[in-house]
Amino acid sequence: MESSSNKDMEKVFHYLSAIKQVDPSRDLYTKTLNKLNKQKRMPLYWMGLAATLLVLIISAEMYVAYNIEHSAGNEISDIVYITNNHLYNE
Amino acid sequence: MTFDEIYSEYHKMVFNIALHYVQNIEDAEEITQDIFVKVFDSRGAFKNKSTIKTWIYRISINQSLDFLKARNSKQRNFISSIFSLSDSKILIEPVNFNHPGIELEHKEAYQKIFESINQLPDNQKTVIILLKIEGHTQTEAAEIMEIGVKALESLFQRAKSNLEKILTLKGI
Repeated sequence: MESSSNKDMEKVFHYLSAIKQVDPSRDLYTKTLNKLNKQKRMPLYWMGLAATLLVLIISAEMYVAYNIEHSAGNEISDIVYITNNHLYNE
Repeated sequence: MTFDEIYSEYHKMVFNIALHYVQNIEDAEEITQDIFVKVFDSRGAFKNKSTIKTWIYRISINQSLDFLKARNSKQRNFISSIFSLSDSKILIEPVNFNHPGIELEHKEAYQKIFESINQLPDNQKTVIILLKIEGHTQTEAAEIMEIGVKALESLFQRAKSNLEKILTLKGI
């Protein structure tokens, strides 16, 4: 029983060893090169995106800082009452 | 080594390894492209601890297994979402069996053998491919798989026994 099953497996392995090596299609080289070049361009894309985000963040910071500065001035003018030093009863 | 030199030296080897895992030309070509992108991107990581051939072999095996995992999980999710089946009940078969290296007159037998090999765990599948299809010696296969020769021998025995059980269930 054991030897017959071994024989069967030998047959299976014989089938497997008979598989021939094959050549891929000729355009596989071009396809691979295209994929590689596309991959190379990706870091540039991400670097561009990161730079844009950085500029946007800095612009937003500057805008907020500018507004705080100006609104702070307004608040002081609201609190401190400025007079022209004229006494109406004089 | 330039990309052209690496490609011309190893493209046939890489394509055939991928082909043994996926058993169709389209998927094997896609995997081959990914392997060469990975080889070129990580060429700085190659430390000369093994030969470049062994290193490319390992990348090819891992990339082929990753491709199969990704494809099977996609199919599994699709099937389980439609039929509400648990993962263990779903058996994934190759999309289309089209191995150009086999003798066409035995296509049916080859298809059944590969269906059985596909059901083996990853390392058992790999040991069968390296020893019985690629024709490597045990020492070479052990180096590629980064295990000892003794461990490889016992892995092969387990793979052989499991393959035999699956083939018997299939009536071969």
